[in-house]
Amino acid sequence: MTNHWIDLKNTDCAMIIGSNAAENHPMSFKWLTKAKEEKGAKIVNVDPRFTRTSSKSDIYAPIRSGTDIAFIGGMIKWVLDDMTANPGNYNMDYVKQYTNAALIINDSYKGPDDASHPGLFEGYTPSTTSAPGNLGSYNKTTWGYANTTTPNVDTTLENPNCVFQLLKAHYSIYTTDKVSQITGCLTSKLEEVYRTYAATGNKGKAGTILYAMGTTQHTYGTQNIRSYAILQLLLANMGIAGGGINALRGESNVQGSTDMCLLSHILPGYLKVPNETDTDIDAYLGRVEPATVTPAGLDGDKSANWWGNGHYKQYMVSLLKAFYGDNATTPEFGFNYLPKADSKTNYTHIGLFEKLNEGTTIKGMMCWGQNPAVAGPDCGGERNALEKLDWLMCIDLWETETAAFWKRPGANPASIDTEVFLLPAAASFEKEGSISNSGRWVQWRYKAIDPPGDARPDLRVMDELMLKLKEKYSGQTAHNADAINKLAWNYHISGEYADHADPNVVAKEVNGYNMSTGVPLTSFGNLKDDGTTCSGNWIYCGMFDADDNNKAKRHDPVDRSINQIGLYSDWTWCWPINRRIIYNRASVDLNGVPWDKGQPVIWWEYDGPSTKWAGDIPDGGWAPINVAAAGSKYLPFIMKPEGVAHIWGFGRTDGPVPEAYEPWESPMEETIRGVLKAKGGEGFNDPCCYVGKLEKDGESQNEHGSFSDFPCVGTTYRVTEHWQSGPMTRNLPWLVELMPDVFVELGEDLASEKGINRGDKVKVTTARGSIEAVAVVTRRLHRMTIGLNGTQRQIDHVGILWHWGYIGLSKGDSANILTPHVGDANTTIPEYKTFLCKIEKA
Amino acid sequence: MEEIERFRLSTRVLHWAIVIFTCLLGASGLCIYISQIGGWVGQGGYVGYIHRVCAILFVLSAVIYLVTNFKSSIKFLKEAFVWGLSDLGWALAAPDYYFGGDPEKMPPQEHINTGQKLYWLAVIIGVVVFLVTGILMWAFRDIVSESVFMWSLLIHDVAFIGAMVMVALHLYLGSIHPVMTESLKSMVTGKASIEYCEHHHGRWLRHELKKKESES
Amino acid sequence: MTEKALLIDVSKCTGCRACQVACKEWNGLPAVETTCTGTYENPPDLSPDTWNKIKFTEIGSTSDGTMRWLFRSERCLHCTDASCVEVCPTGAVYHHELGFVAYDRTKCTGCGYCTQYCPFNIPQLSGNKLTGMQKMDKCTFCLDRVANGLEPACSKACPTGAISFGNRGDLILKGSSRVNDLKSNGYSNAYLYGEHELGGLHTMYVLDEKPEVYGLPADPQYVPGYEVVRQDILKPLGWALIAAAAGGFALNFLVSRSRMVKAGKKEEE
Repeated sequence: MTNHWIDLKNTDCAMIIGSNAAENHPMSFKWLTKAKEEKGAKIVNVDPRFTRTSSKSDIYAPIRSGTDIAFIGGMIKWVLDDMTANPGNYNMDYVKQYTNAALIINDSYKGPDDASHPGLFEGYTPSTTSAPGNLGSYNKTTWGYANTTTPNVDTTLENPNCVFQLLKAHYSIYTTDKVSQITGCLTSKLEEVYRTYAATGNKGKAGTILYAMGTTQHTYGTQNIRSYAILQLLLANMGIAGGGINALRGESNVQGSTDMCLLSHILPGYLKVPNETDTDIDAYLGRVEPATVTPAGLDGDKSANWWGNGHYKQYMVSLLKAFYGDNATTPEFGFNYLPKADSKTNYTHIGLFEKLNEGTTIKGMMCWGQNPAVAGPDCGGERNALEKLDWLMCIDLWETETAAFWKRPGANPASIDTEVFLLPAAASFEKEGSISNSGRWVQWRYKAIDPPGDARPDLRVMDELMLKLKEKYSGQTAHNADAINKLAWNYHISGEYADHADPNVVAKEVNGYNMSTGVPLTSFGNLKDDGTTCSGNWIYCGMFDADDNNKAKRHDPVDRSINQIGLYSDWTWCWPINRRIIYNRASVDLNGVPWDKGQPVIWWEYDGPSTKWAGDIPDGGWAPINVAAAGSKYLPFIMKPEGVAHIWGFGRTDGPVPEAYEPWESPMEETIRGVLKAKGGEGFNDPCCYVGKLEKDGESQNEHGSFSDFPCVGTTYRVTEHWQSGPMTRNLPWLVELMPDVFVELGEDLASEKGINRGDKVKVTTARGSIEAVAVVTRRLHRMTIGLNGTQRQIDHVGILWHWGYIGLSKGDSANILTPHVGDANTTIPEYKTFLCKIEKA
Repeated sequence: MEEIERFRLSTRVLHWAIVIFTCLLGASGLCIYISQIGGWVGQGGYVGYIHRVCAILFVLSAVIYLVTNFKSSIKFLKEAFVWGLSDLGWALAAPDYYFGGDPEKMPPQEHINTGQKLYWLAVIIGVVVFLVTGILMWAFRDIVSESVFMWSLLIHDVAFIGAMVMVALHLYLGSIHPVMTESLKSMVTGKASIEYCEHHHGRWLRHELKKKESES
Repeated sequence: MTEKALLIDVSKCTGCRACQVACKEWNGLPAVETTCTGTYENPPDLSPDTWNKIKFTEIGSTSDGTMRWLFRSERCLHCTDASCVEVCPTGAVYHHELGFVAYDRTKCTGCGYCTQYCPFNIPQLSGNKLTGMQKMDKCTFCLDRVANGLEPACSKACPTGAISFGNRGDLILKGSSRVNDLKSNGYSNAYLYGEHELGGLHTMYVLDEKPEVYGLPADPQYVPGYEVVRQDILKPLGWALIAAAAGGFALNFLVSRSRMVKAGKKEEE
């Protein structure tokens, strides 16, 4: 979240898209309900299903699963058109001065509207290999600014090559008629949503977008979010109270695990993972550190470029000091102890399982609080892949389907050679440590009770494992042994933690301290690139004060901030440096005066003893653009090389601006540009998406299904009563009582056509497999009419819960038997949310 | 003093069984009528249990009697429904008789007199009413409509009040009333004096004596 | 003492059922074995082990934009004119001084009259139907929590503030103002259910549709006529009859004995 949970109460309009917030984030509705009650805020919900969230929304817009970009693209067009007609209704200063709308793009850029490559951006090459991977890739050289170091600017936004005009051209085809034909949403409803949400473009109004897995888990998930970003920037909703783009994290500590490098492409603090080209730390920094770009002609004349200007090295060296301690010596600081990723290898979940299935490189797996046998895409194939392992270690509260894969229905345990270790883990109440919530708040939790039996906290398991590895590797001198032998690992202190790792010690190391004095550092501004400081995660630096107090343990339930917008700045601590709303320099005008004086985030104090920022922690302490001296008029988006936000996002692999493509399995014959499937083959639905390969005995387990065989649009999701792949809830009688069986939801039209009654057993089939479930026949889903250029198709959605598996108190089929092994072009996040299926009475 | 058998053993057993069950039924029924004792004895729901068990035993004892003494039972049952002029005579004489008047003015009575016959009829009707409404409230609670339940409850209550009065009357006449000197005794021992029978069940006595004569 | 109450604002309820589980957790009620019957709603009914459940109702249609999915927490409404209190023969069900309807399980004889007469079908009998060894159970208003200065488990667990606990008078003000808000937002049927019904309920609802739509009787009735007859006429009449009979017997005894004594003397003479 750019903002935080409580800040939802400041919004004038919340658009919940790709999220069932009421279901999966019940507390969000505490604050949304307040916004409704106290501010008369509107809630707009966009979803294929009428959900519990829809039930509390003022406007519900049903769309076909996977058509977010068409839906938002239509809104972007609507806003751009309205901006021309009624510029007074929008914050044009924000758009011109704080985003790259006015920057001039390379004039050889050609978009998908160009006749030479309809539907594609400039520079596309299809993949020619049969190996799993992206269907194609782009040469992105023409996508950037015409002048890459000091881009020219046209603040009238009239230059045909400025971002604003290119955006207009790109989305000119996204009329409400076309959007309606793609999304299946009535034009009247589209217009109602567009009008309602666009009203937050007014100065002093705030609109927030809440999204979750319904947005991300598509082959163009990244571009879905990009479309929200563009919209929010056009409406000047970033950085303000009640605004922002708010990713609702699917687990209580997903934010924390992402911060701590759960993902394969980053190190803690979002530092990039070194690859084989990074022969030393300078080569690495040369590759990853962005050069500063200074737009020429904006009122702001200085870009902070926070990732550049030497900061990267400070953070990286401090991280290496935290990893390797005294072994991190100049000049490399142990950089080469880090494993280097192979830039050709996909290390994401999908990539790992495909490698695992090949059976040659991956021999063992540690499955830590993960249950891919239920949660993995195309999990039937992934279960088979597990058989290739020599050993599997599962750490969980309960025996999971993954731990029990060798005795799954249909498997022959005698023919599976995998040795499985199941380590019982302590639950959150049985251990001490921090979690970071969606709002980036690092909240300390204390142990309430001892874990039962042999169950142990994850940290303790990791600690014991590492110490054992160190013991085994001691004396070895091979390079790969250094990664373990050189590691600084000393987290035992005294008392309760005399014999195993103390999370408080870990927390202090994550925060960072002076290597010689041991005094905690109070801001990442104090991190050094000379090895005198350490910090396990630079964005967490400042969590401790200089007196060793962990601010994540603060619990002041009173909002003492002077702006009284619910910052609760003394309740725990939030990264970065307790800044509760990030990008907040964009919440004020060039003079430092808040756009919204009713709920200011920060403001420049002109009166009083000294002129300074007041309110939340500002994004940099420099004076406002109109106050600062020439040459130090800092632009607001300090993490961007050019200091302004990206309406034009040329860093993505699949286009600088989102284009409405189709899911890998789609009921549509063509895209918005009129490009037929026949021309580009199935893969043309989304030219860069990742298509995986899972074979068993030479037979594909990741088959593609066609609309003629599978005429329904399937989608998967959770309910509030269950949690993820289910071990933590399907074993609890109170929760099983509420949701005892796996069910599928379908509309009344489809049900009556198939003779399916409420409560019947039904079978849902895709090209990958089939499952049985109970039918929930409901009027909350309805038959939609879609089809471009006069073609018309009736489509029905089938919604499937994915919590179930073959182990536990409540058992049932796993929805992911049905999902494909395909993923997002940028991140390879699996496509869980749209596929083609058929349904029949079981 | 010469005695004659008024009630056979099985009849007496039945009577006293019925007495016990009726008392328990009444007492347990009263528990859900009188809040003070109900709360005290109601723990564990035993009151309802006792009420049901006694109802079953009540019916069971009657059924056993009916089966084992089928002929006489039918005859006895019929008795409640056979009315004649002699009953009118009893009705005319009764007020004076039961207020200590001249016993000679009472026409001779059968094995049970008209008053007892009335009582017997009331018992039969009462048992049927209790049974029907009781079973409705017990076994068919979830099936019958709310109002059927409520009417059943109301009728059960009315029947209970009626039964209380009748039982009191029976108790009074059978054991306290000055005229009924041997009624209780005969239900205990089975026998009553010829003299008592002459006064109270003259017609029956004559009939019985005749029967004895012909037998000998 | 000030009367306490719960105000359940259905317009804020997301149907998450945290209250349903919190109720079981606090009161130590076991899970009921259920199956999915094609709806989110489970268990299907209130029972001795389920004192609070969310009722799910679908009205309207998604295709024309009229779709509504309604959630209501179904539980004891703690009436002022409580039929269950009136009909309870043993006084096991009673009005607590804080206004709500409490019950003493040890005094319950399991007669089940309360279950029959409740206009909302709330009280539930557990135990053996056959033997009648039963006990009534229902929402206790978390008496053990409330008596110790805590709010009930359901309102404590509610994430959205749909359930609030407080003084009944304050909640009526709060509820009325919510109803006005809803009315001005187009919910013309908005209504504060429980302000006046049955002398005032201690579980009140802010409704955004008519009560019947939420499965609540529009005009809930206090115990019907027969029960009034039973309690207020029949019972005293019964006692009167018994008394009259006893008096009659005594008179009869005295009269008949004195007459018999006289007659005996005559005979002796």
